[in-house]
Amino acid sequence: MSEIIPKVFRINTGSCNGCDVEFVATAFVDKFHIESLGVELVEDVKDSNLLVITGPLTAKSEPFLKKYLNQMKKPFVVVGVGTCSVSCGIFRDSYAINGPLDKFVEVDVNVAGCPPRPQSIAEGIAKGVKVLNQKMHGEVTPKKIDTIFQDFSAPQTFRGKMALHEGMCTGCRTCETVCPSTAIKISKTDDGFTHNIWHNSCCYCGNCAYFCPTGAIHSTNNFDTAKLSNHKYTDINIAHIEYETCTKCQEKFMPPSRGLLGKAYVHDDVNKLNAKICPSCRKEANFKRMYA
Amino acid sequence: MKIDEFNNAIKSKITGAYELKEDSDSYGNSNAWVILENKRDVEVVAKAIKAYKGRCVVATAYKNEKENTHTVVYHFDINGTIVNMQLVTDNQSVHSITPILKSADWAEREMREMYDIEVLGHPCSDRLFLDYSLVKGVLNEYISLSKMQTGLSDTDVLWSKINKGAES
Repeated sequence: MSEIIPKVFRINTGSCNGCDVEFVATAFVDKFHIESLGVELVEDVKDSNLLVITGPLTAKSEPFLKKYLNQMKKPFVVVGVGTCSVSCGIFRDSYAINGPLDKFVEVDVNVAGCPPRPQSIAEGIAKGVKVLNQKMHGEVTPKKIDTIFQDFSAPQTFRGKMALHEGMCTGCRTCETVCPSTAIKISKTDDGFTHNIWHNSCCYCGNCAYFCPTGAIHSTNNFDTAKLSNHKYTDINIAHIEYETCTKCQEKFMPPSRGLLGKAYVHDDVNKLNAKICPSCRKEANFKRMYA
Repeated sequence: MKIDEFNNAIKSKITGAYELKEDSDSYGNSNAWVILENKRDVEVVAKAIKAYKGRCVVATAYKNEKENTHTVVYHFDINGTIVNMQLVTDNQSVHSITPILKSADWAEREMREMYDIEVLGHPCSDRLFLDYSLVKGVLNEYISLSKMQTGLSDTDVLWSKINKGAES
């Protein structure tokens, strides 16, 4: 198989420039190994076969993007860099946004992040190069590509993908309300709640973790976000918060958070509290205890 | 500059009724409110501001309950004293003061774009930021903060796609 030289051209479709700054770091700092891919940055879109596109695609940038796309020679690969390009992130539903990108062009690799770490961008471009090679040789784009660069370590304090401690969550919907990019959805089920975090919309602001009364939602230092476009709607953190059955009346109820009980009853052993009974039975038991 | 002095400069030239209020902020900085009834009088106030070597800092607007009217407030600065000029537009138009005070250029164009208020006699008809494909007056629509935070779309199309992804 003959090697193809990936020629990168970058288009900004109304990005805040955060992703563009990270892209520059990725392109020019040796430790991100982008040169090991044999990538060449080109000045003219006609010479390129790998487009790196940032931004949520504003109304103003739409004609420019279309103009560039018309000048491209097929086959080419599109790598969307940043949460905005994948799902419009915090700008979704704005009057001035016509995106996301996949409305106008077939995107091959999505790199979520606000902005993504350079390692993620390098990984996204590396995956883009693989897809380009396959396209150039008339092969079908694979459904999954294994991680190419293994260097995905970040400091413990780095704010990466959000996760949830199921046992501490009570489905109070605070995180869903404060999320500026509508990345969290809590849905009711027969057995409790489903808590979904869509990583491709999250802007990593940490608002959810800051406001969570029980400390259930938290950030991890995981930032592996460079995925093929068929994973756009599957890159989700799914958690199930289940009802408990009341030991007295057998009714299902949402148990109080251990974390909150611990805060409220600092001098008591939380495990000994009558937490296994539903609120109405607890009221009854407490009334009897005090007045009977 | 004293507010009385400014009042003397405008009172003989203003054609309609107006109200002048004096106030100061918590730091003791004085400011004045000129509330006009005749919107043509904006030019008189603007000329007085120019005579005192003042400038337009910014202009703000909001939509009134009465259809097609907005309340517009121009904020001027004369050597540290803020003069606010308030008027109500009829038929969504105001007379431009940019030919008198160049500093009002940006604010008036922004007002035209965001609230669809026609600025009569403004020297520039170009849009400031918004693409021509977008309707004028995007800020006329009232959107509550809570609605804004939880997403504006009334459909569940997006999350049904994500839920389907979660099941696969």
